[in-house]
Amino acid sequence: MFEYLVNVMPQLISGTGITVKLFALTLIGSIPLGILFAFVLASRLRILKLIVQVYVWLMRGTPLLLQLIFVFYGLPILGIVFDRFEAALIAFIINYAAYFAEIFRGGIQSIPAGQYEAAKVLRLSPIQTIQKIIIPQVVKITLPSVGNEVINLVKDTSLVYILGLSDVMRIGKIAMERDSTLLPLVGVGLIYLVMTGVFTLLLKQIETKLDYYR
Amino acid sequence: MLELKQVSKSFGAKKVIDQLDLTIEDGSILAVVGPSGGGKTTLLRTLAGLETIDSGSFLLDGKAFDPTDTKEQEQVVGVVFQDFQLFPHLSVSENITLAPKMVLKQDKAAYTAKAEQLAEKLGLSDLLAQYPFQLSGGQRQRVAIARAMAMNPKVLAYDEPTSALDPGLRQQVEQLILDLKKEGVTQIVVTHDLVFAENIGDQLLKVAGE
Repeated sequence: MFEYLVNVMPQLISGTGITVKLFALTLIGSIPLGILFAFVLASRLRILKLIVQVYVWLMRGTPLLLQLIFVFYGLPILGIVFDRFEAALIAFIINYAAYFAEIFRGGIQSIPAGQYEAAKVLRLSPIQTIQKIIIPQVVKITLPSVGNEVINLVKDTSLVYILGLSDVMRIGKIAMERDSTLLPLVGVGLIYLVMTGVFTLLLKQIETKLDYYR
Repeated sequence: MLELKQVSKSFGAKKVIDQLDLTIEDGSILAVVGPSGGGKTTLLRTLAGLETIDSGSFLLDGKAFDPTDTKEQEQVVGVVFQDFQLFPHLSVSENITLAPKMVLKQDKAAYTAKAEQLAEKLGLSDLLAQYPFQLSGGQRQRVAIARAMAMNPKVLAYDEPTSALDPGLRQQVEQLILDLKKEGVTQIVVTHDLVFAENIGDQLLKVAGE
């Protein structure tokens, strides 16, 4: 049993390529987008804000699995075709950007109005205020929530097996059916535990680093 | 010399500042005293450019200026807020140098020298590397003063400088303000504390309540 698990691990690990790539690109795409949407949500731009609110509602209000299927199988009906990985990446970015937008909005709104006024009286421009005063404080405030989403994202990447992408989950499922044993899924679980474990430690470290002020 | 001419400001139907004329000589202290809701903080906020006025004008040395004009690099009124509003993620030194660096585009030698000089004057020299949460209320206030003065304002304005501090510190604040006066700093102090206002003010502006 142990021997089987050891033998099947290299196959499973080969699937982490897709998983890690999707994970990293999703973060790179969704965090800046989330910040942008968050400032719209915290602003007084009525119409733009309403659009972002509807978008957030759609993204958080429907299953990610459904969104994946719509992007990959639904958009081609409108003549928009993406390959499997692109479709997965787009669905993940727009989904996660919505969650990040809400998290960052909360962070932005928790900065006291006095901080903006202090910056204004010192003649800092709005852009300088956002860069030097608001974002650094929002990063610290929202880090625990962002960390939660990052851990969720590691596990959510397993949903792409539905599009036939050979990630850890799909390879495990194939091995399970081929060899009529649940053991590959034990291996899959171990791989996710290692990945989320690494990010948990990393986030803890960043949190400690940001502890220099209160 | 800072002058206000016929300055008025209303919030809705409520007139908060009504055709106010005021002259503040260089190096003098104006104390604005009155109960809360009397418009004294609003007066400070209009001078700082945080509120617009409905009518009237502000003059500096006879020349009109608009405090809300953010393109204006020359700072007229620096503000020490009631709760100081230091930037918690920046050290004392960074709090003081941020605006000179980002707004006045001073080079490092210039803003560092200025910060050290202000820190020395305000007794903050040993605290430059600390963060606001590590400081006492009185120390935070002095950092707020240093931060405002680093922008070379013509006038330094305080909103309720005694209210966020222990009652025992009132005299220290008085002394600090009078020391700055000796240095030639023009100051406006908004307070609800009449005794404090009388102790420091060359000129007293009493604002009526509601």
